[in-house]
Amino acid sequence: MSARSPSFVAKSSSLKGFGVGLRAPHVNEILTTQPQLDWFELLADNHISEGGWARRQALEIAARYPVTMHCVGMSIGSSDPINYAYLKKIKTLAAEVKAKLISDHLCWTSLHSHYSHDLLPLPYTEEALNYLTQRILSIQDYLGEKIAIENISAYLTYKHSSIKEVEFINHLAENADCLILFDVNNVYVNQKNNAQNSYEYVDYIDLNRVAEVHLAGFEDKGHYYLDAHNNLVSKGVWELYERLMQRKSDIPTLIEWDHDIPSFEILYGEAMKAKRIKTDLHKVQGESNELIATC
Amino acid sequence: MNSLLLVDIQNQFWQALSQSKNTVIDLISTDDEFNVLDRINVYRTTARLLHVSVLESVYPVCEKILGKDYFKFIAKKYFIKHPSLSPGLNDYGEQFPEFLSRLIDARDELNGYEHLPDLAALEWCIQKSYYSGDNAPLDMQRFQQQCEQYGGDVKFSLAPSVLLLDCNYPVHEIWSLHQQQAIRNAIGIPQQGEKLCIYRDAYEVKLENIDEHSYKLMLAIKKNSTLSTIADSFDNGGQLNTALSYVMSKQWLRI
Repeated sequence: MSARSPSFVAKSSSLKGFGVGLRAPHVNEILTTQPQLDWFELLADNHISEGGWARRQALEIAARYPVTMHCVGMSIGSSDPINYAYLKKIKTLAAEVKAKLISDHLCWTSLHSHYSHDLLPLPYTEEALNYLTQRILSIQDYLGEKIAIENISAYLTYKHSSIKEVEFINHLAENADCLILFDVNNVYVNQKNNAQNSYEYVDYIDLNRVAEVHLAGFEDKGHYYLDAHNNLVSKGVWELYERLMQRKSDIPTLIEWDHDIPSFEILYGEAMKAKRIKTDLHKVQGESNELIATC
Repeated sequence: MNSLLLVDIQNQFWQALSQSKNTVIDLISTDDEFNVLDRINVYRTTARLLHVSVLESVYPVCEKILGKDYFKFIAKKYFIKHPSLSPGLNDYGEQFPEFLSRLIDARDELNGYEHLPDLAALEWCIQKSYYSGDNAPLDMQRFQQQCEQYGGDVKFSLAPSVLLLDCNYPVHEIWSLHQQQAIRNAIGIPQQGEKLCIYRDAYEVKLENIDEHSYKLMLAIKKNSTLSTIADSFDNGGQLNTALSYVMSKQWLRI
């Protein structure tokens, strides 16, 4: 399939710096103390109710910070028809909070109108690539903007897959003219679970399409890693992140934490750690440039 | 190997998740350390735990009364019988009160828990009201205009967060006791019906026992009846006026 000419607006170009995922236990503290963060990511599905405190939280945060919206319900890879009722809710909320970016996952979550609420893996085949391209184009047509697709953590791969995941997501982003939300933790988890080469992934991901990076912690289950988002970012993930940032250091970066949610201070600390990595890299790059200029 | 279509793979995967069929095994790559069944079980376990945890959060008083382990047991049964039909997890669990009712009829160990379906229905209303649309204040000017313009044919509606419940048991009291961590013997609750209005005041869900006339009025409004039809169903105008005034004063009415 040939590349499609860019036709969708990417609002994410104005997204910068370091953010954290908004979680309900932190909202009051954030509204009161207004910590210095560049943006918050809303788990969109938690805020698309017609009204009530959950929706109000999103509006209150959006009145103070730039926000992005991270979805889990588009079921982009499903054989089911696109759920436009769901998309309508997403579009409405995105307009209300002036979302800088809408994202969902490279997966399927539903079949026969039943929802698993889990990110189920896709086979990486030509058929799937073509199918997902059309689905994303339709979704973007409806939303009127580019969306970002996140690589998922997986606990299995299919024998039928004929394309490496990183190639698949790069091609998909180009064909559908969409963006990539690059989750470094998921790459690390998949290295353990599916023997995926994480260095190759980080080195090959199309940075021109990467609009945002996700960092999170996993749970070590012994023979596999569970992408539980319930821990500090691991050393291995920080190393991969640094490797990625050496390729391009100005990608907006976000800390996710979904279970056993700690104090906001801990999440903030993780975001600042990511920021320090960027600052240190800039410093080293500056010193190298000076050295080269001297020589 | 590429001949199998995406839809076929998804069908087989879904069967593995929902019906514990394992034909998908043949489609999955494996290694010695992490076998195929264990891989599928990660998804089975995640889906089950997630849905059960949603039911626990929507039905906390039912869980307290039944005990954590027994609630988990029946929540798993519900999950198998009732897959989620919406991309929003907040919508999950609507049929749980009916499911409980059938379970109580079928299982001896649930004798004496006949009030639980009513209690579950109350907890579901609380969930619905919490996420419902915000209540705008009743526009009195418009209200008067509409009444003048349409007379007896005028129709009202209920505020978005307002839900009605007609219970056979005193579930408001039971629910309230459990909010205070009080433990009450769950078995042998007397049949003592009540009519409840569940509504939201700003962002807080509130419960109120309402009299028969207010309930009758709101139920008729919910059924889209005209004012004259509603009036015909009341024995006298005084009853209707009192009920209407009360419902309006609570901001439960819209036009």
